[in-house]
Parts: sequence; C-alpha cells; structure tokens
Amino acid sequence: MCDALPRSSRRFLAIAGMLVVLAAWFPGAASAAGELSAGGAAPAFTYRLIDGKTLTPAALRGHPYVLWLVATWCPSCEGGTAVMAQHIDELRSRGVRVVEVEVANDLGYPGPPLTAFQKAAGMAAASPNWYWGELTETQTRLLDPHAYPDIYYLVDAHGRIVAIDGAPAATWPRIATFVASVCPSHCP
Amino acid sequence: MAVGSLVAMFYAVALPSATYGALSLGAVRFLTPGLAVAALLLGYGSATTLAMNLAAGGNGSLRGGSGAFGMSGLLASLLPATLCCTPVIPLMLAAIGVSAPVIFRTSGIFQAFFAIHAAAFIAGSVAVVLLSTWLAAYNLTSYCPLAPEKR
Repeated sequence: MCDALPRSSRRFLAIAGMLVVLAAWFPGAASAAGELSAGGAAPAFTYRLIDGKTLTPAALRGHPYVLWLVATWCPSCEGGTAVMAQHIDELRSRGVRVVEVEVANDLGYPGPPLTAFQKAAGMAAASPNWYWGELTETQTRLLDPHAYPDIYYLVDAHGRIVAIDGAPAATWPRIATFVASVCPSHCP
Repeated sequence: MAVGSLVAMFYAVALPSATYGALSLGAVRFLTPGLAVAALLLGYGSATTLAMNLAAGGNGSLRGGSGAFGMSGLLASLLPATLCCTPVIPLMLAAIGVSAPVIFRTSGIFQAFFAIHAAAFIAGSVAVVLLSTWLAAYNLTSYCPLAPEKR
C-alpha cells in the first residue's frame, strides 16, 4: 500500500534536503523582505554613544560614514579596530566618519566593554571622526538581523548604503575604494 | 623538517586568521609571539610525531601486539593538527567550498564559542601534540623485536 522509496530516490531526497538547509543558512539566500541592502537608505537612527552623548541623524547628514557593528568578544572586530586606528586620520582628511557600535548584549555572549577596544586603539580612538556607541535591541535587530558579530555598512553623503561587508582588516581595500569614490580629490 | 616548516607556516597563517577576519596571508600581521610559538610547536610537533610513527612502522614496532597502538599513534599524530582552535569551523566550511569572507560573516554563532575559548583550544592542541610526540617517542624506543613464532 505504501511502498518504500527506491534507494536512489531516498538519496536524492537526502541531498536535496541538505541543499535546502544550506540555502536557508547561506546569507545571500537568506535576505528577507525589509532587510537593509546596498542601494537602499541607511536607517536614520540616533545612536547612543559611550561617552554619554548621542549621535543624531542630523549630525551624520551630508557626510559619508562607515557604520560598523561589533561584538566585543569578536577577534576580527579587535583586529579591524587596530586597522581602523591606522587609517582614521586618512578617513578624517577625506571627510569620512566612523560609527563603531557594539551590538545589543553582544549577541548574547559575554564580552569586554567597548572601552577596551577604545583603549587598544590608543590616541586614534579620540579622533573626532570616530564615534563609539552601543546599539539598542531594536537597532540591532534591524541592522544585524543575522547576528553577525562583525558587519559594516558603507553609507554615502546622501545616506544611501553603498556596500555591506565585514572584517575591515581583511576587506580594507573595499573601504579604501569607498573612501576614494566619495571623495576623489580634495575634501573638507 | 620541510613538512614541519610547511605545517608551522600554515598555522602561522591559520591561528591569527580569526583576528584578521579571513584565512589568507594577510593574517600574518596579527601573529603574536604566543601564536608564533604555538604555530612552531604544532607544526614541528606534528611533523616529528608523524616521522617517528612512520619510523616505528618501518622497524616493526607497528606490527604484532603493538600494531593497534602504533596505528592509533599514527592517527593521533595527525589528529591534533586538525583539531586546533578557532580556524576549525572556518576550515570545515572552506572544505565545502565557501569563500573566506562569507565564512567570517556566516559563522558568527560558532565564532563566539571559539573566540571566547580560543586560548584554551590552542593550549589544548599544543598539549595534545606534545603528548603525541612523547607517545611516539616512547613507542619507537620501547621497540622489542619478538622471535618468530614456531609452527
């Protein structure tokens, strides 16, 4: 009445099942409706900075910036911060701002405070174009729906997302290209 | 020696790759003295253990009663090199053909566990390699040829 599937069919179904699981897990395939993407507008959030101040959308308007989400236990975030520190003056001369924000609750894993990153970055951390803040749960959910510990948005002066990537140390050429494109010659 | 150098070079790239964000040569810039020592121990330790186990197999230590121990020793010499620390998950993903930048965005859930316990994983791997080396040396030096059985 209910014959068992032939072995070849079962194998096919097993492989298909694994592919479906992989596809669902793969970030490129997992983009849901409403998710931020390159070409879209960056959300106009007010970010809470760790020095007690806030960074408003008005303060960012008209400036290209790197919105970088980090978890403080994340090694590539630590490495990326070191690389960012090396380039922060160059970014400043090009009018590019860096907004480095800790994801809410460090994605559920304990990590050191963001001030540890600041300290590791040394004097460069005090650069006026480098903002250090913390995301709320709501901001984290929208900006980092897949809970990546190290993801950045390159946003142009019009507030449009130019690219999304992660691990600045490894992908610095992409940030350099962005900086060169938003500010090809002399900038403020 | 050459194998040890190659394995040590691999680890010199692999160990700091989590800090760099990708498994590529650029990771070497994040190689700390501690990671360099670990890479050397893992590289040369694994190669030495492998060489000793092969030598033990050559002179007969792997035969007869000690065969099972000898073969497991050979496997043990290879295993620690694959067990080490943070690059494990990225390497596993790399094995199924995912590129490095995607790996480091995808494996966030895994990264937390490995990142938080990275030092313990590295120390554990080094300890296992050293233990394997000691076992291989013991296996090689305790070789005692048996007289052929009389039929």
